[in-house]
Amino acid sequence: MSATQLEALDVEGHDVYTCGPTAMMETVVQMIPQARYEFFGPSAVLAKA
Amino acid sequence: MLDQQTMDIVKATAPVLKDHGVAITSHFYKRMFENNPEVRHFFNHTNQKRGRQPEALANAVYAAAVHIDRLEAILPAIQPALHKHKSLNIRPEHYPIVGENLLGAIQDVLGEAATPDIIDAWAKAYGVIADVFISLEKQMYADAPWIGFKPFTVAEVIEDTPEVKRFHIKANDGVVGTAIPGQYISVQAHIAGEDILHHRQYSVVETTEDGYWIAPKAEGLVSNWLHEQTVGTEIPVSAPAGEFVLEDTDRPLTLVAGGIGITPLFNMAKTALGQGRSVTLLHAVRSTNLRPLSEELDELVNVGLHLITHVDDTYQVA
Repeated sequence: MSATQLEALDVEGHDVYTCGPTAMMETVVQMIPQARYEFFGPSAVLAKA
Repeated sequence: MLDQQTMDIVKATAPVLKDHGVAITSHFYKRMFENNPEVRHFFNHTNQKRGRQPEALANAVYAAAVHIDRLEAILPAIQPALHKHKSLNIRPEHYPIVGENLLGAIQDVLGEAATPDIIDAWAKAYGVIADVFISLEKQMYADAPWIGFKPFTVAEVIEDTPEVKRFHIKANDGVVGTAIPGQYISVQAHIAGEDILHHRQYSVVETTEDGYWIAPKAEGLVSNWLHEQTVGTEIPVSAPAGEFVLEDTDRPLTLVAGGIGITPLFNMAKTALGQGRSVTLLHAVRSTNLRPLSEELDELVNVGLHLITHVDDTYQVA
């Protein structure tokens, strides 16, 4: 998933959710900070703690 | 309520726990599984081997130590653990087992640096932290449609992709609770040759009148076992849990999924579209024939889903 594609998403005023493998989702969360996320595995706990 | 001296000791020793966190928690799990093998089945042993669980626990212990004087600050961070505990049927009697072995591990790893005063302070702190978990979990169990695991039966199996199967599992007593979109259930697996039960969580793709659709990808011990199960197989399942859920708003919804990560988001998309919300879904997959829930997604496109499928064959599972 490229940064360009994520930038192209118009998420202003949107609820954003993302779920997938850790490495991929870290990019999403960096680019869309308001995204609620669910990584695979316990990394989600690590990230939120 | 902890006294000031106890809180001071716990906060002062937090950096030490951070430095030795993974060593302590790795030793903790080894010690606990030896001393209390009855709790082994609560843990994902694949994550154990990869070192994920010791790291996660070390992080949680450190966070609790830093915020010991205002534990409410860690409530958002512990929500995933609370839901996982509910899903695994963790009960109050399990907390002393963890506490005893954690304190023992701290003592073993830190040696003489772990003075009686420090161990005593941590014992008190653990008691307070455990009480928070037990109290919150008590309420969650009270609100659950059922507690622990009850029998479901595989009613239908669909080959979704070469890697993914969809299972419709129905409660033997016909009673289920609606999974809030994004929630998961836990499946209990009795795997031949394994000396413990195994549990894994699967996102609910859809709640039906008397069961759930789940879509496991064939990777890992339990998912591979699940893929071998056929119609008529009985599988113990726990009630829906999880805090990664669709909020009840009327705002437009954007969903970003990677591969099998589509499963909780599909439920969100279908529900939100049914509520008249605008929904955009960006789904990254390795190839179009490996796109899970492909037909169902196309059906959602017909009712207004804005679907963007990104194909990247260089993608590797992390």
